[in-house]
Amino acid sequence: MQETAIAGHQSIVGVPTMISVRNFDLWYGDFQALKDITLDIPENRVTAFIGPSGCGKSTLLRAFNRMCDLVPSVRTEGCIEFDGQDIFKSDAYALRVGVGMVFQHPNPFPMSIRDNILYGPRRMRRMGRDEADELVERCLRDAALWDEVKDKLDQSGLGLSGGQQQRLCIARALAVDPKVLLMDEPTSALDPISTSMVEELMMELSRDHTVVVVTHNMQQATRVADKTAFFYLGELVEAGETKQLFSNPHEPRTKDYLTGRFS
Amino acid sequence: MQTRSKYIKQLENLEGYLTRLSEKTVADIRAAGSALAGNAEAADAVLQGRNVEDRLRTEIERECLDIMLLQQPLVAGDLRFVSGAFRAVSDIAHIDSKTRDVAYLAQNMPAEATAGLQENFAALAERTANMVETAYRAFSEADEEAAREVFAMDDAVDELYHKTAASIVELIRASKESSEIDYLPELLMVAKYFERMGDDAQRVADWALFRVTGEHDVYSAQRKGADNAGE
Repeated sequence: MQETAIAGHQSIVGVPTMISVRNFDLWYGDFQALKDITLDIPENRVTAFIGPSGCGKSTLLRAFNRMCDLVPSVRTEGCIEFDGQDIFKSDAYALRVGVGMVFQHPNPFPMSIRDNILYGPRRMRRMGRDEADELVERCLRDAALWDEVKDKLDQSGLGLSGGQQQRLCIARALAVDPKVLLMDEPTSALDPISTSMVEELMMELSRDHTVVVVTHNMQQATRVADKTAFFYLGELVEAGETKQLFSNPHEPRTKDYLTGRFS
Repeated sequence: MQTRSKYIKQLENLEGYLTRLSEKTVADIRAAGSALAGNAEAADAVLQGRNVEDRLRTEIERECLDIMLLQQPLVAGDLRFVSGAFRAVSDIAHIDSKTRDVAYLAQNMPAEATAGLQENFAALAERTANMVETAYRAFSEADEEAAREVFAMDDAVDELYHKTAASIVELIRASKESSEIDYLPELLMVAKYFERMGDDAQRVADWALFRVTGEHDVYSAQRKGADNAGE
């Protein structure tokens, strides 16, 4: 699907769109959390969502794989297309296979490292031992964790450090071969070294996956993101290539937020 | 696991562009000296190199700004390298610009205009080129000793400049026909350009000291103080 350029919500020129959001509204009961959002998420790039707490960035991220469906009072209007299909007219289970999620706090399952990786694929199909071994190694290598855990694959994932647990969660998300990886403040609970590793991983993974990351750390957005979107009070104020948004924001609210002059 | 690979790549790119600009500048100084000895091709080559200098300078400035905006180098050494490079590029570009002024003047005077002065100009060009080479090496390798060497080298360039200028003034005084001094004022300017290239090389060396110590202009200030005390 070719992207459409919309004033103020620019796409990256020449890059196809993986997720297309059009005039999307979302309410929790009477409270409107997202207001008329129109945004393109470029394929095989890192897109960062920034903005103050409560601005709607995590809500939009969770809408991408319909986690918002799990909240009873949620109502939506408008359209989100993933790979050309309206996600609200698709099967939620199939959608979540294609759109994986990594959360703020590492949440490995209480099982072995190996079983953490194989949990998703085993629910989709039967696998032989060789295929399973190959998949475990590939996912752990892709998550830059293989060298650290290859000799303890049968030990519990809960025994790993915080940074290793988060990379295990990324490896687990990769095991079902998603096209998109959603990351909700994936480094906020990690130390600087683990943060650097996860940031490096985001950029590596974006060669073959579309990555969308919510972050409170604006420097992280500048380091890893190709495109950045700034949200405020449920509105998408501005989106564009990261360098443009940070060096020359069009909107006064973006400029004020980036320079810390927000009141 | 390698981290911040994009940042490291950007730093490597910056160093690569700076090296290319410095190597080009050193080659242009030597070519300008050759042009003064009547080598018309050398003059042409220097004059045609302007676009390359502009492109390299633009790339260096863009890379410095991108690194500061997007990567926020927090480690003091990296920050000093990037901010020093952002300033040193102007000094190196000024040197390259002066080589074109020399080449232009050389191109517009007959080869015999520098008769009796060629040895001086050849030495000025070579010494200035060596200064710039040493100053950039000092910056690139964060070599404090090499940076201090540049300040000592400038004394020799200044001495040669004064000697050359005195020779030209003597030639002007000794001239009986006005046609004999047609090109001598321009040659005074050429000698001054080389002396100024040496001053710019000192500024690059100052940025090398800044890269190492975090302090700027300290050595130059000390030298000025010493010079004033000696007067």
